[in-house]
Amino acid sequence: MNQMDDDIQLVGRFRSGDESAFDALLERYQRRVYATAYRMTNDLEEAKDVTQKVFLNVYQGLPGFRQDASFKTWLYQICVNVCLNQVRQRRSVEVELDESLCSGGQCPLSSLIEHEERARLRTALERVPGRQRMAVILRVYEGLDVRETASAMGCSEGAVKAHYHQAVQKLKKIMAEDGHGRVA
Amino acid sequence: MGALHDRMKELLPDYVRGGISAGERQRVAEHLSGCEQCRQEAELLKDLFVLDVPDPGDGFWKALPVAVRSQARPSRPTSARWAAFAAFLRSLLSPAPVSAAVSLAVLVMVFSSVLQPPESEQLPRDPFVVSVIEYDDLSEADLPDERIALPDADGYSEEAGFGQATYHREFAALDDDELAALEEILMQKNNGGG
Repeated sequence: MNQMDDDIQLVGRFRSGDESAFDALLERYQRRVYATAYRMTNDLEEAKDVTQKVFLNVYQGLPGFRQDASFKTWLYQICVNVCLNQVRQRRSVEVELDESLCSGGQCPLSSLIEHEERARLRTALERVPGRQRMAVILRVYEGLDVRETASAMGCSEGAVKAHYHQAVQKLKKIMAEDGHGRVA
Repeated sequence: MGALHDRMKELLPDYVRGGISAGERQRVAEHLSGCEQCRQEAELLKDLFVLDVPDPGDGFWKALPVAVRSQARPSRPTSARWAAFAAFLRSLLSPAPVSAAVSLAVLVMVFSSVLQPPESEQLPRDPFVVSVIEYDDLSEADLPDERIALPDADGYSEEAGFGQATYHREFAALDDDELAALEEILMQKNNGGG
């Protein structure tokens, strides 16, 4: 039995009143949802809030889940929507944060260079527009293929490819501007 | 930049994640050796992939299902509300509520009879209740104090004098001839307009 079949069984059990089935689904996907939320928000507390909202929507939406798509795709659809809403709500704050972090490059400790480069890349990812960033996160971190990413994001496969390509180009440009050595 | 390039480029995310077969991995590696653009992109994706995510802690994971349920309960989904309503209806048909309803009805009947005013208070208002009074229960003391004195053997009473009671006794003492004579006298008196 593969994971998708197992998900369907758990969904069926939950809809029959078995609350433990929801716990099993949550246990299976909570860390992936949290990681996606963290990469989208780059903030621990926001990521926790987003994770809770996602599973609240799952809990409330499962009775009406029609299973047109797999549970995993449906879960990512919810995750995408909650994450993008979260990002939109704090956009102004995000810009200020970006500027403060990107004006740096002044860390005196050479032993922290790698850590700093990672922080730059994280900040660079944060500067990529929400849907483009989500395309990268789903493709790179979550391992969704183009078709699954399109379904989760509610757009065409062509749009996913475009979002992903634009995100990669933007990241390259930001890292080059910030003096990242390996990406020209 | 042809179809192979596009295909290899599409495989890069899976390549950096290690999510492709050994054969595809080999083909991607060969492509990267000859394509600077894809090599730069693969380096970028590798750097992205190793970005760590801080663990929120065991407390968060343990509290998550509880928090989700506590937030969900005030606004249960529609189907759940219908399920709760159906459960309520079913509970009405279960033995316990039925016996409770019967007990309540009995209690209402008992209290209504206890709280009903005594029959003596109902007598002036309810003639139907008067008809069921048990006169056998009455004693001498219950009789009205007003006495009707019967005339003595001579037809005279100090209280009543020659009242109606004496008058009737006199009629009762008349024989047939006397009654016929009296009737004739009364008829003549009526005819005469007396």
